[in-house]
Amino acid sequence: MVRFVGKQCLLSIPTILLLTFFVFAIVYLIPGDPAEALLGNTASPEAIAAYRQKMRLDEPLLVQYGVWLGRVVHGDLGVSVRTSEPVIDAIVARLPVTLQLSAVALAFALVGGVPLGVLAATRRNSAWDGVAQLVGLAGLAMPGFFLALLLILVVSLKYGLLPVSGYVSFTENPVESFKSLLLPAVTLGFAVLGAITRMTRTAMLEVLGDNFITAARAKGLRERTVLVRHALKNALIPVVTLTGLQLGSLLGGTIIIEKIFGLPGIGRLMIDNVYAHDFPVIQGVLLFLALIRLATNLATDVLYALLDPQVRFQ
Amino acid sequence: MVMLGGWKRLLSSQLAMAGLLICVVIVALGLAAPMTAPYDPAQLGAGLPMQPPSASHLLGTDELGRDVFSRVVYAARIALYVSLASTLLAAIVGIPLGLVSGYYRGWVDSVVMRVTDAWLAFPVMVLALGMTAALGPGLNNATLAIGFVTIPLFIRLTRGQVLSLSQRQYIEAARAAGQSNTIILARHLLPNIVPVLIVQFSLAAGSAVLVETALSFLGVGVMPPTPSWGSMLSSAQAYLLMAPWMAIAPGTCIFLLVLGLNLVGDGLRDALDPRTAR
Repeated sequence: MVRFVGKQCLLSIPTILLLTFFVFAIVYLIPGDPAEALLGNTASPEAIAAYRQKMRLDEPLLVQYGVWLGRVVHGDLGVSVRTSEPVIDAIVARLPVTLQLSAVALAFALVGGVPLGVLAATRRNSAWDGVAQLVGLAGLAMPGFFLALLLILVVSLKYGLLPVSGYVSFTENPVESFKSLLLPAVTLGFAVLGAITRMTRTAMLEVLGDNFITAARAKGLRERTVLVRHALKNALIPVVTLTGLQLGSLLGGTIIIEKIFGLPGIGRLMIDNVYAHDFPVIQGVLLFLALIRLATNLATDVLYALLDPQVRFQ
Repeated sequence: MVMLGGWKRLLSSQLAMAGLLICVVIVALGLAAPMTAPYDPAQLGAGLPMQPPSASHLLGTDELGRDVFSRVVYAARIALYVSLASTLLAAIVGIPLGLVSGYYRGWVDSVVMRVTDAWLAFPVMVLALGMTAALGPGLNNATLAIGFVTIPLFIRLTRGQVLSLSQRQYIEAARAAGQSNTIILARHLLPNIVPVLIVQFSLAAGSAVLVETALSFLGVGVMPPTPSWGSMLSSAQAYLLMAPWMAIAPGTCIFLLVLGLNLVGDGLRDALDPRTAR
């Protein structure tokens, strides 16, 4: 197992290097001088010249990349043009909100999706199956921002059940904090809910057709035991993988959700700085989210290997 | 014959047909926008501001008195254009890279695979947003950004297909007969991957619609005065309680188009997959 994890980590080193290069190179897409873009248009010519010198912007691209990477490796993502705050601090400060939001969203998707998928598979062509397939399709096609507006309209504006927007921190008031996260989390988790429902249904249907299920039934086990201990346990392996892989896109979805609901998280940091053309922050968030995604994918691979011993020996 | 059976299965799938119908209706409405739209989409004060749906304004009017139905119909053109153009761009770049990578293997394959790994590490929405931040907003830049984030999906899929098809006997036969690599790639491998690619194309087009409308919603995609479903939703946000139709009309359009493209994609996949053939 240790060897497996080690090998996976080694394999991701070139990926991480390339990924940092993507992030580095994005400022070269900006029309004009990257130094000007990185310092903002209020910077004086002297400041720009000094910056060019410091980042060695007059040298070949690969040298520039090396200089940039050297700083990033030491945790220096640069400073925000607008606020002069170190980018890494800005990200760390916003992280708790985004993590809470993603956790609640994921919990909602799992708690809703797995049972619904199981019900659909065990009662094929029943009303439950219809609901499951509908949720599966809606999860694919429903834009998060439209769902958010619909929920705000009905739940918050018409019936006043939950706040329209704003964030209350957990330490301040746990109940209000949960209430402020509920609608954003449901919106964010809906697409994942659809995917988990579909995957659970398909995996359960496949497993239920297997011989070992027939054998378990023939042994006289109760149907409950057959379903939960034998079928679900196996069907959950692809569901776990899917959930792990969805984690990264969940973080991408936080951009719009945090903006609509006014949550001060990483997604909000990203979009605010896109508006402000604050490229050091944009680069920092890009890098951070891609690394998180890579890490969760790696963790998913390891978890998959733990759950399914066949993978380890390939 | 396989294709023929596949089409028959596709036609008999009600969901796929419903999806096709949705797509056809949206394409027809969009293409014929000058005829189907009763008003100029940019005309201020085509009616009173924020009127609910009525006979003269099928989907009501917005905060500036513009006809929502006319705007929705013109915005369909934008959604379809961006989705088609970006997916086409991704396919044109991604498919050859996947073919070469899967067929020649070796160091080319290693390089291409590591690059796509890094590419795919970025959540789609985040990378598209980062690119539009650098490129600037607008129709063409949004198309470019969405196309760019879709490329690795086509590389991956094509490569995987080539890897599995290369083992087949007819490819070995072609090689034994002394046919050149170019001929094998273009005449023997590519045509057999086309069905899978069509499926991928319709699914990718659906996701492109979601990304374009999201970018436009955030105000960094298609810019006003060009009507986009995303920007319509964004301005509807302020008048949610007073004029919900301003949000419901474009939002439903996005939902239906993406749903349609996904249903068609799923239907095609089932129809073309011999394993589910009955």
